[in-house]
Amino acid sequence: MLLMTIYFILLGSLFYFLFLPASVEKEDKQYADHPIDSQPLPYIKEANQHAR
Amino acid sequence: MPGSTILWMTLIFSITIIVMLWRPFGLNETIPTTIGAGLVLLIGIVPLSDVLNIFSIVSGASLTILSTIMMSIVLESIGFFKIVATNIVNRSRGSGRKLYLYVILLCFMMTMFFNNDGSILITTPIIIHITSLLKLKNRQRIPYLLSGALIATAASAPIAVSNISNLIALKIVGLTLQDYIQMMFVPSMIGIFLIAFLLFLYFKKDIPKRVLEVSVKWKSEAQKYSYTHPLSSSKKEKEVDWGLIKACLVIVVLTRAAFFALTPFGISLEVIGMAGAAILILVRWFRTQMGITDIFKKTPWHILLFAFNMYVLVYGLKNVGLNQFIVDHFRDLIVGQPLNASLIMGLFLTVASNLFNNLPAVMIGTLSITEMGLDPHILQIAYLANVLGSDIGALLTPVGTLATLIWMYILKSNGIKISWAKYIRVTIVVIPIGLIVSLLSLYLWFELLF
Repeated sequence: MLLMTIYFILLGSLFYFLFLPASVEKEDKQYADHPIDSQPLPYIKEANQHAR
Repeated sequence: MPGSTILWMTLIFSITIIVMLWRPFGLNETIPTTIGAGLVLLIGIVPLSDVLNIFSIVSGASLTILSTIMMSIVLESIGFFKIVATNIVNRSRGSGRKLYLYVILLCFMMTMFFNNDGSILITTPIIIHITSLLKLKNRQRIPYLLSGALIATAASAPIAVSNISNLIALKIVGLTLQDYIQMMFVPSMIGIFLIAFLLFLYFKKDIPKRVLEVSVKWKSEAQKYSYTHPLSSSKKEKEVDWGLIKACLVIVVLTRAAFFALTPFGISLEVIGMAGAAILILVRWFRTQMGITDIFKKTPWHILLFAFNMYVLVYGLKNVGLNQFIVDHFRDLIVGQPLNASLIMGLFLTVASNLFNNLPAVMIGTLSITEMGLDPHILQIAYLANVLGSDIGALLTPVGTLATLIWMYILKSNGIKISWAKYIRVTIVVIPIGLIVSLLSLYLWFELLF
């Protein structure tokens, strides 16, 4: 019943990534809270540099 | 058997089932079944000498299911489901369809990891909370709630360990878990995928494309994200122990895998289940110093008595000749005909489950097929068709499974009204197609591989 063991390990991994993600240390970026008159965020700056 | 005995048995069984399903004043379902089974034993329809035999058939299945319930209580106490709810909201990112997909996946996986009743108890409050948080209207909540409940219940068919009635029937027929999986996994998964797809098509217009985009910060709000849950051990807000959460998930998955890996060596399911629950409780104690009092208090120990009572009642029906009636009427139609065995027994169990609930129905059906003198091949198909009828066909009406009755009760207590008519309007479209395709898949799978 190796297949069922593999199935449950895969299902457990899928569950982990879907519902218990590694957002342990992550804080959601609240773009709406970013003051409109402040400097653009660094990654927006970088994106602008690549924009054509 | 004298006619009066048949009359008494029919009366006792009917009244017990009506009171069990009706549950006046929130009466626990174990009480009417205890009275019914007590009367059957007292009258002598089931001799006392059979009691030990009946207990040995139902005790293993009940303890296995109890072990999964204990595991879900441990997970709830450490905030596991709180995290799941928060993640579903965050990850949907304002998409109603993404939310629908996450809800369906969660309900399916909860039944795979625990059991159908446990899955309903865990997921329904989560879905209610999420849909309230996202300020969905009642009409918009129904697709999530109803689809989740149907998938959670149907998902108990692929593996025998997710449903107490499947486990008891497995014991009666004498199949191993490995045989069950080999024969049942693929046909029932085809049925579940089809039901999920049909549910999506049915509710496509009602599922909102955009929902409120709520983002919950993990470091601050998430850990204070509290809600009332039937399994909740404490209303206090606690810090999330991520190491413990991950360890617990690993233990649950390994216990599930161990059911399949260790039973060939003669280790019984209930021993594996109880060992998994004990390890989970120990790990929790090691990290949080929480004892076992909450587990003992919240575990529904009465399930053991309930399953015993139900089997006594079914055994009584068998003793007064109901099984012989079924054998006489179905035997000739089934013998040597695998397609008939699959369709007839599946449909018979569907009707029986929706008349008097799937637990007694599957017991009656399984006892009957063992008395038909079928060859092993047809016996296995007939048994698995019984299971499909009792797990999928039973979803046609709320009365078919205890899980759907629990679900309706949770909705009602949260002020969400879903009438029987509304429920059946959905299931009458989805369930018959899902059931027939599952039964045909079972037949084809058998012809192809066995």
